[in-house]
Amino acid sequence: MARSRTHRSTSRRFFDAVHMPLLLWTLALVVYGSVMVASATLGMDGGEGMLLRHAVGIGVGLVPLALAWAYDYTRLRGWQGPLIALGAFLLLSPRIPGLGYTAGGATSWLAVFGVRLFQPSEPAKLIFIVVVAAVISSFKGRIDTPAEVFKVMAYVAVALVLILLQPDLGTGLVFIAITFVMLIVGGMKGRYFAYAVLVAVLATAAVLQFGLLADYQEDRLLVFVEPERDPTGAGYNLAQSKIAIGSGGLAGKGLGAGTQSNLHFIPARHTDFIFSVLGEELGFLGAVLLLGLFLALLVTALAISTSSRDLYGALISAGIIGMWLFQILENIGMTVGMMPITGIPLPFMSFGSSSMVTNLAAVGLLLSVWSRRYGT
Amino acid sequence: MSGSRRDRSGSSDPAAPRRSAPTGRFSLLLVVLAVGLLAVTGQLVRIQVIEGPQYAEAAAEQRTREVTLNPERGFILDREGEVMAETIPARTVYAVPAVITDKEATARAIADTLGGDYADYLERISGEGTYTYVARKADPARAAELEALGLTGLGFHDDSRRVYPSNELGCQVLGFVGIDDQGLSGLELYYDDLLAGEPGALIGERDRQGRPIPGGVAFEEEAIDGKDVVLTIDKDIQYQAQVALAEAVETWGAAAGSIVVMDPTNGEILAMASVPQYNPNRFGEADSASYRNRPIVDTYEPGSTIKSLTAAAVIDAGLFTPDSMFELPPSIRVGGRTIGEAHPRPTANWSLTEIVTKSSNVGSVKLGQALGEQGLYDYFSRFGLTEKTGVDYPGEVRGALPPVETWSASSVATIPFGQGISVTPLQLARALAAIANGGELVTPHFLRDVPDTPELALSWPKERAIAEGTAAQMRSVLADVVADGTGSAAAVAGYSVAGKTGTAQKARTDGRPGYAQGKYVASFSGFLPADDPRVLIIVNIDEPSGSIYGGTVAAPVFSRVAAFAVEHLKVPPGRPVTEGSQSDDG
Repeated sequence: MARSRTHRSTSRRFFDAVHMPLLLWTLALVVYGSVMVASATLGMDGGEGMLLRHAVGIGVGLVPLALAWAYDYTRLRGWQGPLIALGAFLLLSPRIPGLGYTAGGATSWLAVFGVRLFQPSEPAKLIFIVVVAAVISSFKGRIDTPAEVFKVMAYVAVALVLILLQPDLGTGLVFIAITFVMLIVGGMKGRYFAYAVLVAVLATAAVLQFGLLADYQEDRLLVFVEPERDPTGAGYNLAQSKIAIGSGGLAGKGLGAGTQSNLHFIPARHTDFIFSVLGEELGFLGAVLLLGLFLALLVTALAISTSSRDLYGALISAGIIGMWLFQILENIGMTVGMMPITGIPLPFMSFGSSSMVTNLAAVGLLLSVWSRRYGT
Repeated sequence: MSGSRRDRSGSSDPAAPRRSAPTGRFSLLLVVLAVGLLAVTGQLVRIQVIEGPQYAEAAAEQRTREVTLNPERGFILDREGEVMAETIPARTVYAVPAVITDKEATARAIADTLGGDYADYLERISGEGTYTYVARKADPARAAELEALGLTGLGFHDDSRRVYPSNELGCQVLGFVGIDDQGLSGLELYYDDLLAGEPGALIGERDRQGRPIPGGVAFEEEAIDGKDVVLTIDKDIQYQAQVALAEAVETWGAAAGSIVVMDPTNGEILAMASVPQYNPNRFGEADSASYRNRPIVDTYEPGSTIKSLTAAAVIDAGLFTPDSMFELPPSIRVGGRTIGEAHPRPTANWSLTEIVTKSSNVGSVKLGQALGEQGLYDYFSRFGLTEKTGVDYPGEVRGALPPVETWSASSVATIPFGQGISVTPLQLARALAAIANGGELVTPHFLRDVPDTPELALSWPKERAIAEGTAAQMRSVLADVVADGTGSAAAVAGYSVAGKTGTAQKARTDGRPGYAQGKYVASFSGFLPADDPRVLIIVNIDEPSGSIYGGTVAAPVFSRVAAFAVEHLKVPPGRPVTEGSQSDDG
């Protein structure tokens, strides 16, 4: 009996630690993404090498996933200082001579000897989440004084300034979205949200007014408002993306048979516009399948957040939800003309190791929160 | 998902986690999440399901492009294979005015490199259009110079251009092509089907740069280049004929002129020229009157020239022989008209041969009366004067020989000497060729060969007009014209020449009946060697001044061209034309 009870409790502890649905949805998304990356890179020069790099990214990402899962997230609180330093370093690193690499108008890559390693702003998102979670959780679930709001805003402001130095508008928006979701869960009063929106609007106006954005960023944003502004530049991307997705119809043209993607009409088709390829080749049904998987992933993450044993874990989970939700809506939204075009990858789908490793690490964090939900 | 929910709400577990945050906040998140994903789904329904077909169409449209593959137009060669019309590479320059910012500088650069008018270019590239031609079929070297400047908004593509290397030579025969290389006149028009070839088409898939996708060709049909065409024209004879004609027209201050050089045995046209002439390389600058290939498209009253046909008819009909004698009064009255001679003379007894050599109008009237109206009409009909020659050239006309029923009482008297009837010079050439070649009516033609086209069987029908014996007798008569008649100026050293002068009045052009005062067509038509003719030439000088006589104005042109032609063609000098030569053959 005792043996059997022990056995039962061991197995129960194991299954408590493993959140099967989360792993299942993650696996499904990674496989789906790999298939699409394979299809998108098939006709490219060096397409096979890219697919290999994508697989390596997944393999590498399993390491931080396992580490984060094994590590008790509550102990991250003690690393607040070093984490802030690391985050700041990561965001600044592309600007450090000899380490930065410029692509697509933004210096957002870390490189050694000219070899691009990764985009430091990707892991910086997770560090930002963990750091801000510690700050907000110290308010005990109620943010009702301006001092508390300003304290959070100070962290956000520093991060944004560092990001906009690169300049990487898309990542900056992700940080804002993360903060927004974490503030909801952290208990900020509705009135402060109203102020925040007001400040955001004023800030946007100021940024446009004083020309703080790079030309290409301003173009992309304004094209969204006025698509005819530049039909062959930023507007061209949007038009081509819509043509690709629209021409996919209900059932799509079949994997690898997307004419618009294979004929290079879709810009950045394996990275930022991977959804356009999916929409063209697998049609509405394939797109809905992906949205279903994302819904499942987010609801699962939400469930983990609500079941966290403390506010810190709930906030970390909420930050991850905010990160994913914003990236999903922004990325897919831009390919179908609902959102301005920014360079944000689609989680688990886009080609890119930095993003893949970061997202898998985020799954590790969620698993850590889940597996420690019974702790005191 | 439901699984995780169940886990969280597993309240039976004593270690159930306390709520870390109020549920309402999570519900708000769930709503945001649901609304966001629903909005995206809604948009997908719109563009993929509802507007899907439109986008599919847009996709097909932008990735395919139909390209017309232009065939190369065939060359036109003379009978010795020398190029008369060729196709050379050219470059077409176009502009996208909308993207040209500095219009003045661009127009200046175009004018400096390609030549042409600055203001004209400036007008072409002004405005905000998306496509306009700057220069079509420009010289490739000049276009390359312009292209090297790398000006924004200018585009270039390969093209080809029709060139006539010898300029005016054979201009009316060759004709010219339009800007899209379509034949517009002359043989370029008549043989357009052979020369043009078949354009090919290519419907290719292309990428966003507009580059064709390898293997992405949905449909391809290769262009079939046009055929080269070999003409019966001899470039050297053409040159001599054209120059001699032009000089005569100038010398005599004539309004126009034409010349036909033909091989009477088979109807091959060795040369054909008209004055005024033009340069087909710049046909747009020429007066359209110079486009007229007069021997084929213009008719005239042949005058005395026709007397040789009248004489042939009476011999062929068995009415007379060349030696038959006629008593000819100074003038003769027929149907209320008095017909006299060009040079008044007393009553004379002339043979049929003398009627021809001395070009007697009164004698011709007698011959015509002997034939009768119907007989005259039938013979002229057999000489092809009532039909087109069937030459391979566009726009051929035929002269007028009215049917017998409409003849006036004097017609039977005037038609035998060439009034009240009209022909084209080529019709006359064909009729005369029947006398030259032993009685057969040939089909005059320009096309000698289309190399590598065995399926094209060329046939130029012949039909008998008069008996061989008649033809031989008439050759002898016509040889006398040059030997000691009105056509002595047509003689060619070493050769016996047969021919007939003509000095025809021109009909009034103001709508009133009768003849225009002082306006004549001076002509000479003949062939050589008289006993075995190889070259037949018709020369017409229209409205000469100074002299009006064919023997003075036209015969020297005949002599010059004929001398060159027989030498160039290496025609052996013939024996003197006698009755004996016939019996020798027999």
